[in-house]
Amino acid sequence: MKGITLLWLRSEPMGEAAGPEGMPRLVLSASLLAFLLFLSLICVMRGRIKRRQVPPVMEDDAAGGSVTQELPVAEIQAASQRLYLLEDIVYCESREIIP
Amino acid sequence: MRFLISAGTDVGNVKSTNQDSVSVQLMEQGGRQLVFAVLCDGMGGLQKGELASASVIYAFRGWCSRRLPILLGNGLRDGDIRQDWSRVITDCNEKIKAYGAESGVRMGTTATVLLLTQDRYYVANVGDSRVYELQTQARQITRDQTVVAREIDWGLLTPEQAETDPRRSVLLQCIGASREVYAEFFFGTPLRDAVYLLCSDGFRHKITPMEMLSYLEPFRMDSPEKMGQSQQALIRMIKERNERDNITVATIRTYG
Repeated sequence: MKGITLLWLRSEPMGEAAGPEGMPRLVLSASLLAFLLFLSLICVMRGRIKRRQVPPVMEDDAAGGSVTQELPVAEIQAASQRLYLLEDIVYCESREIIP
Repeated sequence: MRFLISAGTDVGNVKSTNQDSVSVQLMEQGGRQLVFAVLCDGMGGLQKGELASASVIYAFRGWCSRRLPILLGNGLRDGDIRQDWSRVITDCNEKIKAYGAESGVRMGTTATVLLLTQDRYYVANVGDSRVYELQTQARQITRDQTVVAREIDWGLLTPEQAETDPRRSVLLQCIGASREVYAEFFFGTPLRDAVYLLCSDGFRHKITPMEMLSYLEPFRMDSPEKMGQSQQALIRMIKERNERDNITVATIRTYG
């Protein structure tokens, strides 16, 4: 596409294209080029934004609205830092405790 | 650094119930060991002291299973321990007081709590149970919350006079029998090849810290069984010296 546009731009000597008859074609070509550049820029930016976005954790509430669900950070950290009991000594004469 | 743990208790020569309670847990997280120990001495003069001491023990065991993994995940900080343990102690104080008011009995307990990690120890104390650090010498980590200890601080008594003072067991505060309870905290760096000892007052009245050290000398404590035998030998000696209270001790040997 760009190649065709450039060919079309260069189809007449620059001096003539810059003249009164060549002027509309030059403006049209420049606009087309700018539009294509703008489109490709949008495509690139949308791709980047999508890659950066973390999928939100959502769920519907009772009224049908969506609510962001909090991740249980403390519980996840605790699970990843699991504590293993190797030995346990306990002595209490009382069979009951105060709850 | 690794740990060996052991604990022993005895009802003693006179009492019919053992109002002391003790818990020692050896744990591991990511290849690093840690120990959580709690020792409580139910009030001798009060009824149902064993219920009060057991309740505090299980409150702290609950904290250990629920809160400690989270705190370790975030990185242990002195302030977090101070805040958490103070809350546990305040809750226990309120619950024991309420239970006592409902059932018409008075009860209370001391509490000494130790968390021993690779690079820090955390100690809280209410009452007159103690924590010692035994290595080349015996160092008392906790400070008694008793009338005689306060009078020693004020220069009104010498430590020798305090040994025989009739008020030596009178506490300034205890969990379940005080309007408000303020634990005292002690933080520090643990030593390798040392023994950390928690004990009730019945364990320490009739023996000296140097006797504790000579029986529990760290380099000889190479297994939990050997440490348990030494504890039992000390308990026998204490009973032979006519100790009247319950006798309880827990020990943690650090090595490696």
